[in-house]
Amino acid sequence: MSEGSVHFEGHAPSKVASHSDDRAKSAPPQRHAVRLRSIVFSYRTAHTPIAVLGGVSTEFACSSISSVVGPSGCGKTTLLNLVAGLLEPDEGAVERTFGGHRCGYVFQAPSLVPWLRVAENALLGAEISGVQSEAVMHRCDMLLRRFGLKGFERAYPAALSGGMQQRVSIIRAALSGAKVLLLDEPFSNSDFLFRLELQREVSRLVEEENLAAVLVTHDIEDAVRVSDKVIVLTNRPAKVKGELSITVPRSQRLSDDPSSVRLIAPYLEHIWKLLKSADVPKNPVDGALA
Amino acid sequence: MMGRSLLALKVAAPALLVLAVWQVIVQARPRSEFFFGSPLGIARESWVLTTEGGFARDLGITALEAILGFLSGTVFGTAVGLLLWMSKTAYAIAKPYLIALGSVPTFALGPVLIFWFGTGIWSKVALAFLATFVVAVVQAYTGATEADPNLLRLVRAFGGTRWQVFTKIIVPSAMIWVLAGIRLNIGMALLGAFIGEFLSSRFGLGYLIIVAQGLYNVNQVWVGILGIIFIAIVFHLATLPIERWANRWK
Repeated sequence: MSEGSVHFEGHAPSKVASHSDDRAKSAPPQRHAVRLRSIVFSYRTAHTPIAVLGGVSTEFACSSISSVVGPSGCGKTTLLNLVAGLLEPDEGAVERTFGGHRCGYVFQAPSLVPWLRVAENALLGAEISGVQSEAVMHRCDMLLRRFGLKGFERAYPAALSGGMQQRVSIIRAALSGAKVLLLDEPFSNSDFLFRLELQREVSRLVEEENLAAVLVTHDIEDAVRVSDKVIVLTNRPAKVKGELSITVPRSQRLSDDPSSVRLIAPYLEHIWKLLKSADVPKNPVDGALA
Repeated sequence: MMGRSLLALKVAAPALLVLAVWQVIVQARPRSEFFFGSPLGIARESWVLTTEGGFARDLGITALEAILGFLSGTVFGTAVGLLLWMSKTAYAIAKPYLIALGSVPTFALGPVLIFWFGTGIWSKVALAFLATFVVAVVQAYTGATEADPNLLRLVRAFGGTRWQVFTKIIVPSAMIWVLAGIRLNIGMALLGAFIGEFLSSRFGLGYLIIVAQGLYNVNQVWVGILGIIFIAIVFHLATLPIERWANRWK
C-alpha cells in the first residue's frame, strides 16, 4: 500500500490524496501495462534472508515514464528484475495487462554484445522475440540516424564511446517489441547536456512506441525531469512511501532553458521531504504494533 | 619496402652470425663435427633426407598427427566445456577429474596410449588430442561462465529461452576463449605428436631424431629439430588469421 499519492497541478503542490483507486477514476484513461500487488521479496543468503521488498504495490502506465527513487540499497534494481520476470516474488504478484512477459532492459553500463556489430546489437531484442521484419529494420535505420549513429552500423561496440553505446542499448530495447522498458540508471554516466538530450529521446520513444517505462535512479532531478510519476520507496524492506504525479509538460521540464529548474523545484522539494521523513516501520513487528 | 627488407636482414643477422662462427669452428677442428654437427653438414643431410630418406613424409606425418589431435581435441573439449556450463551437477562431478587430468603431465599417459592404439599414428593423435582437450575444456567452460551477466539478464528479459541464451551469448563467448587460446593449443598438439613419436614409432620427425641419435648422426638430429620448427612456424602463420578473426571486435 502506498502511504499517500500526491498530485501537483502546475507547480502548486495540492492536497494529498490517500487512495489510489480515486485517482484511477479521475485521471485520464491510462492503461496500466504492469501492476505490482503487495510484492514481498527476500534474498536468501547463507545465514539469514535479507528482506528487500516489504509489500510494494504500484502501477506502471502505458506511454508514460514512472521513476522509482529511494535510499540506496532499498531494492530498486530488485524491483526491476521482478518486473522483468528475472526474479519471482515471495508474495504478491506482478500483473501484466498486455505486452506479454517481454521487457526491454537498459543497464547503467551499456551492455552491448561485444562481438556483434552496432546494427546487429540494435536488432538483437527483435531477433530474440521473433519480431524482426522489414519494418523493424527500417525503424532501426531511422532510430540509428536519429540518435546520431548513422555510419556506425557496421562498427563493433568497442569503437563507440560510452554514450553512443548507451544509445544503442536504448534503441535495442525499443525495437524488441516489448511494451515494458526497464531503465536502470541509464543516464548516470552522461554529462548534463547530453543527459537532457538522451532523456528527450527516451521520452519521445516512450510516446511513439506506447511503452510503459520504469526508471530506477538515485538522481531525483532526473526522475522529476523525465517522469510522469515518481514512486518514492522507504528503506529496506521497501514499501511505497509516496507517489507523485508530475503534471508540468515534459517538454518544458526537459528544456535546456535554465528556468526549467524553477518548474521542477517544488517537486524536488516534495520528494526530498518524503525521502527525509521518518520511514514507515522499518521492521514488520513495529508495523503490527502500530 | 626498403625498410622491411632491412629489418629482415637485421632479424636474420644473429642466426647467420651463429651459423658462420659454428661453421668456422668446425672447419678448424674437423673432429668436433661428430659432437656438434655443422651448418653445411645439416644442409647436406637435409638434401639427402629429402631426396632419399622420406623427410617430407616424416614432416607430413608429424604435422598430420598434430592437426588431427588438435581438431578433435578442440571440438570435443569445447563441447564438453559447454556441457559443463549447462549442468551444475555435471560440472561438480567432472571438476576433480579435470583437475587430475590437467595436473598430470598429459604426456605421461603416452605409454598407455601406445598400448591401446599401437605404434601407428593413432597413439600420437590420441596424445595430441588429450593435450588439446584439457585446455579446450577449461577455455570453453571459462568463456561460458565469464559471459557478461548483464547480457544474460538482457536476453532473458527480452523473453529469450535458455537455448537462445546459450546460442546467442554462451557459445560465442566460449568460442572466443577457445580461439584466443588456439596458438597455445596447437603448440600443445605438436608437442603431443612429437613426444608420442619419441616413445615409439616408425615414422615422423620424432622417429627421425631417435634413429639419428642411435646412429650418432648429429646433423640428422638437427634436421629433425629444424623440421619441428618449420611445422611450428607454419602452424603459427595459419593460426594468425583465425586469431585475428576471433578478436576482430576488440
